[in-house]
Amino acid sequence: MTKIVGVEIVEHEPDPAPLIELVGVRAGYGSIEVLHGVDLVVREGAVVALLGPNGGGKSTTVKVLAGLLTPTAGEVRLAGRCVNGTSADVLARLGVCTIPEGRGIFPNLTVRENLRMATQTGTRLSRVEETAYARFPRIAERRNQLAGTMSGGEQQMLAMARALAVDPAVLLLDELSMGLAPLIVEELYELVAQVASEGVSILVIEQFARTVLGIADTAAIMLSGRIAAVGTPQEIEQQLSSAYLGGSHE
Amino acid sequence: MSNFLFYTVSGVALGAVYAIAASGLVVTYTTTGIFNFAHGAIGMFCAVTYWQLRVDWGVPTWLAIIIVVGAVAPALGIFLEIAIMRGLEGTSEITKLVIPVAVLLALNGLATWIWFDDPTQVKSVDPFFGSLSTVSLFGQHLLWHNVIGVFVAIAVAITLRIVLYRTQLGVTMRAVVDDRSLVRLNGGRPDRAAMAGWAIGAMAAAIAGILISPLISLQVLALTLLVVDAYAAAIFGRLRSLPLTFAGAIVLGLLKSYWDWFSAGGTKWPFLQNFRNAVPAVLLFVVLLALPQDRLRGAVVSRTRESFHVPTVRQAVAWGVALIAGIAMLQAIVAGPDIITLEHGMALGVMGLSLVLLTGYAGEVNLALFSFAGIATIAAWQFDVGPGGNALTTSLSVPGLAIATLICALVGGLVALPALRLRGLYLGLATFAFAIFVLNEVLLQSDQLTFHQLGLKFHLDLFTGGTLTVPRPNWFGVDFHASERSYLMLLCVVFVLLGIGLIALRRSAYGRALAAMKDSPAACATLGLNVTRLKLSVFMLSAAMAGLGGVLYSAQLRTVSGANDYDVFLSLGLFMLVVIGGVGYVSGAFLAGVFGGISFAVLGSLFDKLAHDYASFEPLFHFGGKFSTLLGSALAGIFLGRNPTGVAQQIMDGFRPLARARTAVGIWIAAEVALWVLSWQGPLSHWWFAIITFVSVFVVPRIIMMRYPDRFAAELGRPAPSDDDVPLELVGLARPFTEADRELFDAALSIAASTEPV
Amino acid sequence: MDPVLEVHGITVRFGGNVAVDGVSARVEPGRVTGLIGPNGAGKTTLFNVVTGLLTPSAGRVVLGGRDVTRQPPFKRARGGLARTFQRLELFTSLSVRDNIRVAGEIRNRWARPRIDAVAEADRVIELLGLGALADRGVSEIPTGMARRVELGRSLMTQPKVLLLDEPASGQDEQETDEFAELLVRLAANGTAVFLVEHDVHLVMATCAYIYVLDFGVLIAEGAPDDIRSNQAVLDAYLGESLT
Repeated sequence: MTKIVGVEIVEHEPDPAPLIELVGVRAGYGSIEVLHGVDLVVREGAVVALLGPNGGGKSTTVKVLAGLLTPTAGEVRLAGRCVNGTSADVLARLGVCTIPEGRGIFPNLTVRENLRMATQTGTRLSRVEETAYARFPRIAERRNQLAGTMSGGEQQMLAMARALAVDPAVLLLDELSMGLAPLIVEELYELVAQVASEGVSILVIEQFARTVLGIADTAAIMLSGRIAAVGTPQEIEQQLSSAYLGGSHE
Repeated sequence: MSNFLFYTVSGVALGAVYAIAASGLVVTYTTTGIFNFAHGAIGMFCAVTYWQLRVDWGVPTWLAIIIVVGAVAPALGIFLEIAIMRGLEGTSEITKLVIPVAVLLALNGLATWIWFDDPTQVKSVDPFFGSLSTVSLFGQHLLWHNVIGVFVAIAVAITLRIVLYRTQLGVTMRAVVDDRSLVRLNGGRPDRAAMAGWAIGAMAAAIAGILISPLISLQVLALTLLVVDAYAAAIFGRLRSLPLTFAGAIVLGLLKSYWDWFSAGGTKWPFLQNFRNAVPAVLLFVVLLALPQDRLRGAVVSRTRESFHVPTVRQAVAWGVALIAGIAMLQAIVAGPDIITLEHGMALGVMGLSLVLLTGYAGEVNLALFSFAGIATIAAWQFDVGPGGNALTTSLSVPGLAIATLICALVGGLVALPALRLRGLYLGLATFAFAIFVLNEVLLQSDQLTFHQLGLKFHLDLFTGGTLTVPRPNWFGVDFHASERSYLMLLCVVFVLLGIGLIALRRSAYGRALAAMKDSPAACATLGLNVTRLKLSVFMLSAAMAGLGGVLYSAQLRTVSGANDYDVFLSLGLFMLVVIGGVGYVSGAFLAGVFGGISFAVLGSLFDKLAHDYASFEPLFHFGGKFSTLLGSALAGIFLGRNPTGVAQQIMDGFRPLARARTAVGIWIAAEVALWVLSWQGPLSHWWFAIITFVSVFVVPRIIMMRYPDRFAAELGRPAPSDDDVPLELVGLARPFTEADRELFDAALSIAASTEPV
Repeated sequence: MDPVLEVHGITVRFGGNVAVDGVSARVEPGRVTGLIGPNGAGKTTLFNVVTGLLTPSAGRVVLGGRDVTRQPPFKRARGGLARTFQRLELFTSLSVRDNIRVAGEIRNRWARPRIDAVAEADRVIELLGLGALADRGVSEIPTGMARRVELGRSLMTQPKVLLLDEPASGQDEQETDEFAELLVRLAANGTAVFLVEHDVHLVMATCAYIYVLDFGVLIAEGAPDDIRSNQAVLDAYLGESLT
């Protein structure tokens, strides 16, 4: 999926089929509706970046996709089939892998035990460990350490390692960069790009990051529970700083 | 030295059993977030099943153990999880406490029904290899049973370690504790972890029950209270850490054993003869004092929203007057024994009011209501009657009642103080431990206590001889000793006054502060509220109310038994019933009194009467009677206890729409009054009156709504008549003919609208 | 002017993570002080330390010249500290009016002279434009309004220092503008306002001085114009571009 800057490539082959679709999805917590009709498509093998300020409903969108929250209206489709109300563990076993906001790890389990939790999708522990340690040698050194005592970057690596070891069809990443040093974020996104090139469909949620635009095929801005803009990363980047800083700089 | 060794080894053996029980409690609590109050009851149930197999049916010991620990216990645990506990995720702390309490009461009722119906028949289980089979160790003869117990505890510890750290299921169980939704995102099934948590918990309870039943007697009470020993041990590990829990259990076992040594088996100090059983409670309080302060809790995002309507004081007064009038009418038509049943219910209602304040308004828990009742009764008795006095000719005095109430407030403060810095559950545990302490040190004190101090001799009567005769008041020129009817009315008036007082309190600045604290202690603290002090004050106030109600309750019974009338299970039962009734409402306490004191008693006696009258159906009616008295309220708790706002609100919500048909309701009330007159004057039996009234409560609102379908369209589940699309020719068939239709027809047929109402 | 609130070298560790690392800041009366930074930078953690809901691993909190690091939250509140919460902490069993009123009643438990909680609550409801919602339950109103209720509640204690944790999220543009005016007015009356906010527009419009946190470390501080042009801040917010 390399892009040749400055050369317009006209694609003749049809777009790949949508793997994930949100159609008019409304969802919320109790009486408070957070998503007011969200439409979003992630095609097979594509990387979609969902950006926007806090409170816009990005994490809620991830929760709906992951099956942690059932929409009150609209449809969530996975490979064309409606999966509204399918529970998160079933979706996970179907190949939807989510790294939630915060650290997607169990702090009071060791690194090995964390990886063991990934085996519930059917991959053998030895294979999960092999893949994870090969990608992240730093984690291999800490395999018997409690995950909560590692640094933030290492914890996020563990979460990624867990996600990648299970060969997901879809990867949902919520605020991967939160609280991490830019260098580590860069490393992590290089990895995401690599995974994408292997054909995994990826939805990346970020609040403040141009970083992610570099690897995305499509980007969207989410404001107040709606998709405010969709376009190429270049188009979206133009609008970004005004969305965050109110156009008061640059 | 040899004594030291003997008691140390015995203590370790006892501690081993507690360790097993406590580890099960911890595993269930950490994996499901539910503190299993029924843990001891499960152990009891399994121990009695073991007795059934091994002693009664003669199954070989090893087979009996395999059946109970390997099949009955896990099946029971999994059944409880699937049928009852699964629905509790995301419910309030109170619900999570009340449902296990209901399970405890149900298991106790069931065991009593099946095995302990005949109190004269004593059941016992021999230790493994008999009571003579000993092994020599360090020159001491030890029972094989105890040695086996220690080894089993070690085996349980190793097994738990392997299961929790080396198996997929165990790792998932621990992962659920960290982050439940992340487990699901990993493709794991938290439900299975919860089932395993309950199965392991129940198995541990079963092993502990089997091991301990030869050491203590095979009784419902003693075995059920194993839960107290277990949580006293588990509190060492803050209900989380298994190694610290094991350590705590050994400490507890040693303390009990050394106490046996120092007190020469409880004979050295007569007033401390039952202290052995109070050791876990004392230990619990000491550990609570040492625990660090909990972080202030923020607002809980609860799946079930509890919101209570608070009536105005004016409404409360109106309802109070109506209640007094209703009870006055009711007592006029019922016979003597039924008056006593009504009195009993009303007394329970008065006691239940203290929980409306504490649990309903402030969100805290007291599981020792009847212990406060017992303490207050003794205080009032000492003040008004005293040793050698005659309670039957004495009046309960206002100062006596005031002192009893004050003492309860002070004791309540002391009980609550260590737990107030901690989460609500700890206060619940502390109060229950206090109940155990009071049971052993006060209520079972059947000898007169004599103290020699400073050359003076004190006598103290607690429950000398096991019972106490309690004075009733002789106020306003009415001798409440003489008339049950007047005492019923007194209780009713007290209930109404306290109820109005509570509602006024809830509507005051103090009451709003309580509500705020219940919703978010953290936010309250940042507004400058000393949360600990407010909690302390409300606990003391509620303990005082429990004491006041308790004295009236004891006076209602006239002669009370320390062992039976202040039973710890009564406290649990009343707590459960008030939650069922609606813990945020004064009427919830009233309903608790109706359920606890009246309904199941009436059902029981009704079945007895039927069994007597229709001998051919005797087994069936006998079954019904047993079922309603032993299991009725516990099952009601299991099914109704999870409704956070209680039956009171459901009833009110059901009747509120009737305000739209005042005339019909007026006719209904008039008809009721007419029936009452018939019953009062004799032609109608009060049984028929009761049955008609009961049925009409359910049927009449429905009839009224059907009579005015347009006014009650929403309640009847029909679309409002304005926007329905029944073809014109089917109106009157597909749905009732309404005023609107008539106007429509009139307009269509150009007939002037009639001004005459239909 | 003398600061009414100071934090010195606050460090908070959770397990092996450092959530806040040696942060020092001063909040002065009569102006709005901003605290900004990306998600997870440690802003709310710092607020929890200041209000006493969290004990820091190191560092001191000084309120009105007195070291309050060891004091429980309620004592700090009595020392003139009030706050709102990012994750709402409303009293859900009370109406909007009673949420605000009870705060005045709680204040009357510890402060003299007493205030008329009913009248004062009415005034605050008016001030915050909550009149139409006053008798609704707080769980029925939109988040933006709920945040105003929290602000109203904290105003009832008549604080010297007001800590606001994302008060504008959930409010629309016009509401936010009104809100900015309100903050400036509060500060003008002498209250020291400490504001955590993601709406940088609001921060720039109201704050006289801004602190920027990024993964627990203070990366910049200064007047709004300095912050706007600070490269470290831009990097923290937008991430380093790979393109």
